[in-house]
Amino acid sequence: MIVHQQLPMSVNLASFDFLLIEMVHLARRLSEQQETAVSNDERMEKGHNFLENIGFQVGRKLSERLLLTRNRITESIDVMRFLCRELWPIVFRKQLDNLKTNRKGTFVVTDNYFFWFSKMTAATGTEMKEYTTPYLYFPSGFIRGVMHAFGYPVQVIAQCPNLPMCIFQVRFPQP
Amino acid sequence: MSKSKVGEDVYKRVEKVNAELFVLTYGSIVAQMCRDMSYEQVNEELEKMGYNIGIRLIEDFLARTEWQRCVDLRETADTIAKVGFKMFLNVTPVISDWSEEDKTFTLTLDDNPLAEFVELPVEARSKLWYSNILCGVLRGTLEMVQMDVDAYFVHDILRGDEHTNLKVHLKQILKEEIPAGDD
Repeated sequence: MIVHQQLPMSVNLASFDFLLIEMVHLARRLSEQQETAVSNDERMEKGHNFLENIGFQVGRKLSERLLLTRNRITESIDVMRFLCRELWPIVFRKQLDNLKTNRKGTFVVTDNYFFWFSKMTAATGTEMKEYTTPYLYFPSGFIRGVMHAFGYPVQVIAQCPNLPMCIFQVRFPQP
Repeated sequence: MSKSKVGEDVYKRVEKVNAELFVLTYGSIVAQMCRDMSYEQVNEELEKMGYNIGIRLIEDFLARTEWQRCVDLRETADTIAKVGFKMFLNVTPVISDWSEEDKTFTLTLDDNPLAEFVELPVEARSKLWYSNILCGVLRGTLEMVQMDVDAYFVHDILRGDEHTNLKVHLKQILKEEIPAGDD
């Protein structure tokens, strides 16, 4: 990655972690601040959109930045590979573990050890869902942002079947 | 060992992340906040975020540096600049402008890693303190070592000022609260 000469090349990883964790807390605070007239679901949605949008921006900007120095990729499968091998590790420390496709425009990517979940524990199914859901929006937005930078308006569905695993379904528009 | 040496040593040992990614993530967060609320609210929320980070960040700081208690605010300021900022953000701000009783000082952060590549829209220039999260971090961190401070930006290059200056004012030293029968 090209880094401006004046800029320190790197910062402490802990600072980045602190920022991301606090971002999720901020989203929760924002959704709780709203008037009581709105239903619970709507409130949650606002916080989730907030995180999704940030993820989207980060994904889009990061891809655009990296594309300055390489040839343009056009095939959807190649874009997905680029995401798994090069972009994911920059933000989430490791490559995505598995990439599957039905060849009809749907891809399923799996991270067997998603780093945000690596230090979480939760007892039951519903409890787990409650804890993990807020953390899924940033990465989903991230994937959407990356694909947007390559010209694909995709839909992303994320789920956490069990900790610390994370599955994303990416649906490409049909030509 | 000098403070800058300690800061550098610790920084060498920690895991690192590309500064550009850090900058653009922070930028995206602030931009999204500006879309959802007023600039005054954004300043406030950033400060709150920073405070929450600060009260946890001090643990990391103490664990990695095994730092001893500072004797006065001058030493504290020096430590913040040379060890704290160096180890977390890889920059060393300049401390200056001490008040008469050594209660207030200014941190000059000309190469602010949060604000690289940033340009504020005109209407935000008089309202938004883009890096306000740092004020919160300082307040939270210092509160955990019994110092009650006010931290606020007075100048920002992003607003067209010549330097980026952050003022820290020590209000009081908090009393150590020891649970009964635990001394």
